[in-house]
Order: sequence, then structure tokens, then C-alpha cells
Amino acid sequence: MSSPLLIVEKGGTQHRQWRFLGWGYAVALAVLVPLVLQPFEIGKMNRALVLMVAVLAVNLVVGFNGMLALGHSAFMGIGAFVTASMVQDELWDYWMVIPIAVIVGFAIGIVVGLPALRVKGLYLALVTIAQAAVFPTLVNIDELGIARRTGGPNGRDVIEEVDRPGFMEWLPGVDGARGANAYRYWILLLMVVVVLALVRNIMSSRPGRAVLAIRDNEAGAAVYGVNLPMYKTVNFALSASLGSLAGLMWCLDKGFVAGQDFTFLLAVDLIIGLVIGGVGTLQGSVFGGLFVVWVRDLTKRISIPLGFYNLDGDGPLSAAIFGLILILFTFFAPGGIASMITAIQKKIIQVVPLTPDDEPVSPMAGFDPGPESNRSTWAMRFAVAGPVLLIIGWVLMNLDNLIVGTLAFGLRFAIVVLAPIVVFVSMNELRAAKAGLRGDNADKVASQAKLAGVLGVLGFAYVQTFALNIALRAHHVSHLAREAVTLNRDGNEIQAIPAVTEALKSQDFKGSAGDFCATFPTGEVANLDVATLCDVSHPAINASETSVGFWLVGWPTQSVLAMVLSVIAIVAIVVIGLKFFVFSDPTEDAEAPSETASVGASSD
Amino acid sequence: MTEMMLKVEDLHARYGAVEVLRGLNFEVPDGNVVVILGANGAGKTTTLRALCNMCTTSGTITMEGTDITRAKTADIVRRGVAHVPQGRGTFPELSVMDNLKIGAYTRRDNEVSADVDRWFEIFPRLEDRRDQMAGSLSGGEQQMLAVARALMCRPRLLLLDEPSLGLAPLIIEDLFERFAQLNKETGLTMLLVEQNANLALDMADYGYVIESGEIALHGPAEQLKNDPAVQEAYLGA
Amino acid sequence: MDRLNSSRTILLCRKRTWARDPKGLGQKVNWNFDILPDFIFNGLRDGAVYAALALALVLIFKATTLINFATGELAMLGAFFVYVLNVEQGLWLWLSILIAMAVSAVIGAAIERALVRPFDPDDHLPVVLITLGLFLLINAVAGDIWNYQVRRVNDPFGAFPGWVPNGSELKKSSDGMLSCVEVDGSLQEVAAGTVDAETCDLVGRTFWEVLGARLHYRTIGIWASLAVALVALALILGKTKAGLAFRAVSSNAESARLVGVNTGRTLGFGWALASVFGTLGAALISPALGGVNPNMMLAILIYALAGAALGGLDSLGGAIIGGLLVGLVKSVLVSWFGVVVLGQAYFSILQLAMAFLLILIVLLFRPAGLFGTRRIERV
Repeated sequence: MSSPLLIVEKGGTQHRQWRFLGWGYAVALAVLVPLVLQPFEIGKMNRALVLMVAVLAVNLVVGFNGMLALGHSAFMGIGAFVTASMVQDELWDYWMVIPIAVIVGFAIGIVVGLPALRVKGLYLALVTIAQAAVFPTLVNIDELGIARRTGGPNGRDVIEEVDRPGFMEWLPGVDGARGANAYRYWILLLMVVVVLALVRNIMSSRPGRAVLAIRDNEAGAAVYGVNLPMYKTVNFALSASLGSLAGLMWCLDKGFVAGQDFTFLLAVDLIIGLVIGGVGTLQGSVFGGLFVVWVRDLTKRISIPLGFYNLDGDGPLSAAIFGLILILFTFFAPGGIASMITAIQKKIIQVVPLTPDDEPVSPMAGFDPGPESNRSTWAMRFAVAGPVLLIIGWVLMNLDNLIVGTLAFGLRFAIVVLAPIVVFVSMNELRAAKAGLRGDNADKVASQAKLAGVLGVLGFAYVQTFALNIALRAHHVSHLAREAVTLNRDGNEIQAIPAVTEALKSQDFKGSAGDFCATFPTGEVANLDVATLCDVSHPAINASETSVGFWLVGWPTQSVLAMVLSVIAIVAIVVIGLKFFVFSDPTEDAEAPSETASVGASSD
Repeated sequence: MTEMMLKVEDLHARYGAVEVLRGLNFEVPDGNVVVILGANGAGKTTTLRALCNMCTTSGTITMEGTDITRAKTADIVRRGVAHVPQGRGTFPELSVMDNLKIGAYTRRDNEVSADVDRWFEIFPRLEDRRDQMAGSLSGGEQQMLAVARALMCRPRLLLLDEPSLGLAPLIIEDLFERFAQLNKETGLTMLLVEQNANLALDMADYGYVIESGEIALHGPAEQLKNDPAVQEAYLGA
Repeated sequence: MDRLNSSRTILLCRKRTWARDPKGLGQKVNWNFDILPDFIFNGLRDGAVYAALALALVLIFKATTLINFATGELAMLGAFFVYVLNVEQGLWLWLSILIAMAVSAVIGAAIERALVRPFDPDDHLPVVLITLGLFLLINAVAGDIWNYQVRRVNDPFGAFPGWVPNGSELKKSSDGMLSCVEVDGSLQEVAAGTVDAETCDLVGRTFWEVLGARLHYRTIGIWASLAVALVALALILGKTKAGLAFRAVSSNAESARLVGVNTGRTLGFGWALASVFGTLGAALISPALGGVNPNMMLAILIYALAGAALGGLDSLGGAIIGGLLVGLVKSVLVSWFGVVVLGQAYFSILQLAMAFLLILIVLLFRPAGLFGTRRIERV
């Protein structure tokens, strides 16, 4: 792959489609989280969302302003304790506490930042590390009512209820067994999105550019009239207020605060997230939050069978693996996951910038590799690789092993990423062949592109079938569940519903049985004896699929709607795709297939 | 024909993606003073750094018949190459005495203190300040210290990187007199990089002119001094 | 004799009252100067250990311009080596300490070579991350090997049998009875292994009385060992070629290369020296902490960081003074002035916070520490 497979004009049709596809996937993933994951996994996702904001806070100082501040666990702690106090003692709602937490964080950021920013480089690292180490001791002071408000060494519970607007009930996952975690997921996600958008805008504004300039060349920025102390301090305080907001989110997510949660080790976790996600990038903070939570979870899970664990289940092995990963990343991938993804993306797609007159900086035809192009070959390889990886993943999935299982999970979804690339590239090559750009190789390129295109379309169709499959099973479960409710309403003897029962008993789902019964939409099943309900076994359905069913119990029409949409999407993809790649007239320039890609992404 | 102390063939050097030297060829005969002239950014300093393997290079550097292109800096120093870097390169937190002692780092004989006394004789101002931190010396004194320190390793080839930089004209003249004296008395070979072409060419036997990483002109010092191009560019004539 | 004994009695009584009822003195300001020397000695003892660790930090800073956040963990590893050699293998304690120091030196040099040298020293973030990674790794690996329980170690200066303060002689009779100086000054026999014997140990054998306060042998021992180590360090840096090379490299690395110094090896030498000091400090303080465990150096590292920042990260003498000062502040200002004089028990929680505040205040007025030099940054 000497030159990128796709070269698109900035803002052009294909560029827009590509970006639309990316956003489509992101939205699809965000929606799938509360639908497909187990409640405890949604909880982990919530923790990841909290850490995303915290990592972003660190990023603001370290990544965007080049100051080595390592003590943001303290700001998180301050936000968390302020929230705990306001919510528990003053009975405020979380939404109302947000401005308080942000303002307190900002003020403390200025108080710490003013002296701390006078020192440079490593001295600042030292001061902030000390700050992180000191914070957990301060919450234990029993003077001035501090310990009363913080709960002292024992910590304190915080209510996790949020005033939620009516439309919240409508969001996917909120109404099912996982309601409690799912609605917090949506609230936290909303906060993350708002914060990301805010930081993105700040960083591309004039003050944001000043902050970046300070990072790149402090003396240079000063010479150009940037007020160094002002920008540094305000940026630091902004970062502290974001950290404080992350503390508020922590309360909402965990429902419990204690000084021991906000130690130096949390600060180190944030730094690890920052570095592994990618220093100085917004996506880096997102990847960082996900990485810290999920990899720590993974290492914990593999520590226990190996015999390395403490009473709290957090094996020292997980810290060792974290340390090792940190060192390895610093050595081999200093740009973190974000730059790895950018590097891969650069190999696949190149965006040609525009001149001020909205013309490409050089004619797009100039980027065409000419008759010797091997793009169709690569499209073919990707088209074949998708199903092959899918099958490998499917085989591996049946091995009962955590690491292999994770790998299998990833492999099964390779097709999701590969299919759009294949369709795009095949489309372009087919057109190029028709336009005569492939010279003597036109026939070969066209046939390869056609074959690859068909495979790509089928890959899309498979992805859509996957969605249909989920919808189908969900409908099945919702049907059974409704039957149980009906039986109860009619005063008949209650019978255990095999499928639901099995779902409740299968895998890790047992603990949620009570949840399920308690939050059953009509409320009538709440009186059911859980033991009776869960007594009969049935081998058909596994937990992740039933969970979709739980959501759909309250919304039986939604599963039908999802099924209908899926079927329409599959038919549309196959028909339009085959029309373009198989039955197309050589003289016709079809615009339709590109829409195929969009449909596949959006309804996924 | 005198023996070649140093022979450089097709020397390339780069900082990252920027190629600074593009195939230099030059020779330094034993016992001679050779000067390299050039404007800012021509690659003079890089040439000297390349000789000591302080930057990424390709080409061949031969010292007295041995290839030293890939030798470690310490080994090159042990062979008798002393480098007085641009901007003096003294150790500001070390005393004058320690600065001289560290100059003899590669030596394993017992005559170090005798040598210290010898250089103190030649640079008496240093002796007055032997226990003072090098950072507190004046520019001229620091330059003397840097030269004395370089001489402490008993070099056979002295590389001088713009010794006149930032010094008052009187001091420069004094310094160059001492260089000439050293060369005459001990037969010390010198490779001098300078912008002050007048003084340098007066002292030198042979000269090279570098322009953007390539040798533009070379010849005996007298001849260069009378070359109209050199006169215009470097002698201000 | 009488006067001394009575003053000791008063001292012990007071201490016990205070220990039983922390709020008892809280009603009014109580300038209890009698027990101040106690706090000073304790502060200087802890301070000496902080100074050793601060010295390790400064040596590494001078060598490679980075703060090694794994300093404490490396020292902890050294203390565990002593534990393994002395307690598990039964080697002579001082020999164990020497071997542990040598092993730590090798580990320090190896870390410098493998993990630090590949990075540009002017770019702080990667090297800080490397040391944070090491911090996690070493702590966790030690936790995997030795778990997190405190393991008892032998005290090199715990007791000198047959020698008691004030000229009395300690006798151990054949039936295991010890004769010792009691709190009231009388000589009594107590059975070994009983609570009485432990009190007796405290009173009669492990400290010297100076200015009415307890100057423990351990404290003197720590001072003496560190003083010896400091003299050795001064000789190594001042009189040897390797020491001269180290000073030259930390002053101007490029010129050092040009005079033929193998800078890499010299930096490794600096790391080795640092590890030696860390290990010595950890080995000496571990008996006072009740033993060794993987988390033993976490708080000590923060105090050492404070000491190093206070003295200036590039000043060896500053590290020693800074370390001692932090120990004194912690003991005298917080424990004595705050808890005893002001009677505010919560001051004991503020020890770490006080160290932090101290760093902030000093850096506010002297951004490069008390004795550090501020280098001019080139653009």
C-alpha cells in the first residue's frame, strides 16, 4: 500500500460519506452499549466515561499546554466531596451541583495553580505529585466539619438519583433491567459529549491557540505578546474544574466517595490513560478512559485464576501489567492509541485540503496511481479478510478463555470496519476502469473491483443481519415476558417462563434477577417469587440477547420496527449494491451505491 | 610532502532530515594550521562535530592512516584529538583546576599536575583563579580555559571552533598569537574554524572555504588571502 | 542522678497523659519545652532518611535531569534484599546491607542504561512516565513476591547489651531474668519476654538520655551511617576520576564527551550511587517502621521529594539540608507545635500536607529551591 487506497477531496461527496460513516459507527456503538452489555459492564462503561473527562482534564494541562501536572486525582476528589456534600447534606440535585463543582474546581485550580505555575517542568511535576499524595489525608481532618462532610476515613454514600427529563425514559436501555446503570450511562455520555465539544471549541479559539503556542515555544509565545501567567493559570484552573466535574460524575457513577478513592494511584491511572490514549488529542482522552477501565478489568480477571490478588480483588499483577504497558507504550508508541489509529487511517484514506477558493490544492486526477494501480487487489484482500477473520473469531469464540474471547470479539467485528473500505475502493476502481484510467489493466481491475464490491456489500448485509438477529431474539423474549405479565393479570397460576428464566440464570446474569423482577415495566411481576420464576431451565437464549428483550418488553413495537428497518436495509444494500457492481451499464455513472454505504452505517 | 594528520573524504552529515554537509573533502597535514572559513550556517561547526562523531555522518575520516569514522568520541580523544567547542564549552560548576583535570581524563600517566603548571605558566590569569568556578570567569578567560583544557589531553590535533566569538579584538589578537606560538613551539596541528578570516589566514598554512555544506574554494593561506572572492566575502575588502 | 531520674519520670508521666487523652491539652496553649528535644531528635532521625532519599533524587537529577519517581520503590527493593539476606538467609546484617547496596547499584545502572538513556533528557514527559511505570511495576512485583504484610527486620542499632545509660550495668541472669533501670530510677529484675521486659528494653537499653530526652541508639546509628556514607560520597565525587567525570557530565554533557568522558557510563554511575543511598536509607529506617513491606516508602518518597525541592533539585548539599529540614518541620512544627502546644490532635494528619505547603511556599519565593541554580533556558 504505497499510496493510500482512498484519496478524497476535503468536503467532497466521498469525504462527507466517509465522515458520516465514522459518526454512524460511533453513534451505533454508543447506542449498543446499554442494549447489549451486561448491567455491570454498563457500570464499567460509566466509569470509563468518568475517566474520559478526568483524562481530558489532565490532557488540557499536560497535552495542550505542555505543563507536567500529575495530581488531578485531588481535583477529582474535591469535586466528588463537594457533590457528595451538596447532594446528601443540602439535598441539591446533581444538575444544580454542576456549576458549584465547576466553580469550586476553578477556584482551587487558581489557588494551587498560581504558585505551582511559577515553577517549571519537573518542579511542577513534583509539586503536583505531592498534591495528589496529600489530598486523601486531608479529608480525615475532623475540625471545621470536614470529616463530617467527607465521611472521614469511612467515606460516605451518595444518592445516585438524578432529576431526569421525560425523554430519558425513551432512550434505549433505560427501561429494562439495567435501567439504573443505563440511564446514568446516558447522562454521563451527555456530559462527556458536551465537555468534548467545549474543549474542542476552546482549543480552536484564540485563547486556545495561545495555550498551544505556550506549549510549543514558551519564549516565542511571550515574544508575540501572549500573557503567559494568565493563560497558564486560567488553563490550569479550567483543567481543575474539569477534574472537579469528573469528581461529580464519579459520585453519580459510584454512589460512594472516600478519600481512599482519590489517591496518588488514581492520578497515575489518569496519566497512564493520557499517554496510552494519546497526549494532546481529544480522541486520546476517550481511548484513555476506556483503556484504563477495561484493561484494568481484564488484568484483574486474569490475575485471579493465576493466584495474584488482594482482598479487594485488585491483584498486584494488574498494577504490574499497567506499569509494563506504560513503559512499553512510552518506548514504542509515544503517540498512544490515537496516533496509531491516525497512522492506520492515513494508509487507507488521504484527504486533499482545499485552497481558499475551495479548489483542491492540486487536481484530484494527479493522485490517481494510473494503470499499474493495485488498489483493486487490496480491496479484494480486504474483502476476503473480513469473512476469514469473522470465521476465525467465530471458531475462537467457542474456546472458553478470556483473552482468546476478547480477541474473538475483535475479529468478529473486523468485517464492520473492512466492508465500507472495500465498497468505497471498489466503487472508485470500477469507475476509474470505466473512465479508462487503468489502461490495459482495465478488464482485470474491473473484474476484481466487481468481485470485491459484491463481497463488501455482502459484508454490509451481514452486519445488518446481525442487527436483525438481535431484534428477532429480543422480540421473542419480549413476547414471552409479556405472556408472563398477562398470566399474572388474569389471576391464573403463575408459570415460570423458560426462556426468561434461563436468561436470568445464564452466565453472569443471575445477580440481576431481582433487578429484572423489581423493575418489570408493568410493575405487576414485582410480586412474583423470583425463585419460582427462575426455576426452569431452557437452553436457547444467552444473556446479552435477552437484555435487548428486557428493554423491548415495555416497547414491543420497537423490536418490530427494528426488524422491519433491518430487513429494508438488507434488501436495499443487496439490491443497490448488486445493481452497481454486477448489473451496471459501463456508460452509467451511478451515484446510488454510495448511499448504500450510508444506509448500512446509519441503521446499524 | 608532510604526512597527513587528518584526511576527510566525502563527508556527509545530517540533523534529522536536513543534510548539512554534502560531501566534504579536505586534508590536514601534520604540523600545519588549517583554517575552514564560511558564513553562518555553512556547516563549519558541524564539520568539527562530525570529526568527533558527535552527529550522524557518512563518508570516511582517516587519522594517520586509521579509519575513525565510526570510532567512539572517547576513542577519538584518546587518539589525540582535542576539540574546543563553540561557545567555550567549559564546565561552569567546576573549578578552574577541575576543568583542567577533566581535560586530562583520557590520560593515564602521572604528569598531569606538571602539565597543569605548564599551562598555568602560559595562561597566568587562570592560575590566579584556579579555585574559582569556571562560570564566574570572563569570556576571554573562559576561552583560555577551554583551550588549556583541550591541551591537557596532550593532543596532536587541536580542533578550534570559532575561538574569537564574542571576544574583544585585543583579546582575540592575544589568543591567536598564543595559537601561533603553540604551533611553532610544539608542532601542534590545528584545524581552525573561523569567521574572522583575516587573523585566521595570517596564522594558517592552508585554507578551505565552505558554502552550504560544500567546499567552494581552497588553497594555501596566502593565495586565499589574495583571492578576490574571498576578499569580498570574508575580508571586507 | 536524682535530678535526672526525677525529670525522666515527669517526662514519661506527661507523655503518657498526652497519649491517653489527646484532647486533654487542647484547652489552652501549652509550651511544653521539656519534650521538645525528643521531637527534634525524632525529626532529625527521619530527616536523615529523607536526606538520603533526597540525595538519591538529586544524584539522578544531576545525572539525567529527571525526577525518578521510582526512587522510593528501588529503595524498598533494597530493603527487601536486606530482609532476604539477613532474616531469610541469616547473613550478618551489615554484610547484608552492603550486598544489598551493591545489588541496587547494579539495578540502578541497568535501569539507566535500558530505560532512560534512549530518551531525550530535555523532553520530560517520557522519562517521567518511565519512572512512574517503574514505580507501579516494582511495587507490584514486590507485592507479588512478598505480599503486603509487614515483615519484621533486625535493627542494626536496636540495642547494645551490657551497656545502659548513666553508668549502670545491665545484667542478664541465668534464669532469663533481666535487671534494668526502672522508670523511677531503681534497679529491678524482670522476666524476659514479659511486658515489663519490653518497657525495660525501652527505658534501659535503646536510648541515651540527652537534655532530658531520649536519643535512641538507632537515631545515632542512622546519623553515623549516613555521615559515613556522605563522607564516602564527598570523597568519590571530589577525589576520584569517576567523580570528577560525573560532575563534569552534570555540568556540561557535551563538553564532557569532547574531553573523552564516556557519558553513558558516567550517568549509569550516578544512578548506581543514587540507588546505593536509597537502599541505605530504606534499610536504616525499616526497623523504625516495624519492618519492610512494598508500600513502606510511599510517604517517605513524598517527604524526600519535598526535601529535594526545598534544597534545590541540583544541589547535593541542598538535598541533605532540605531532607533534615523537612524532618524537623514534620516533627517540631506539626507534631510538637501543632499537637502538643496547640493541642490540636488533627495536626498529626497534616504532616504530609505541611510538607506540601512547605514546597509550595519555598518554590513560590525561590523557584529553584534554596540552594539550586536556576539555569537560563535557551530559546
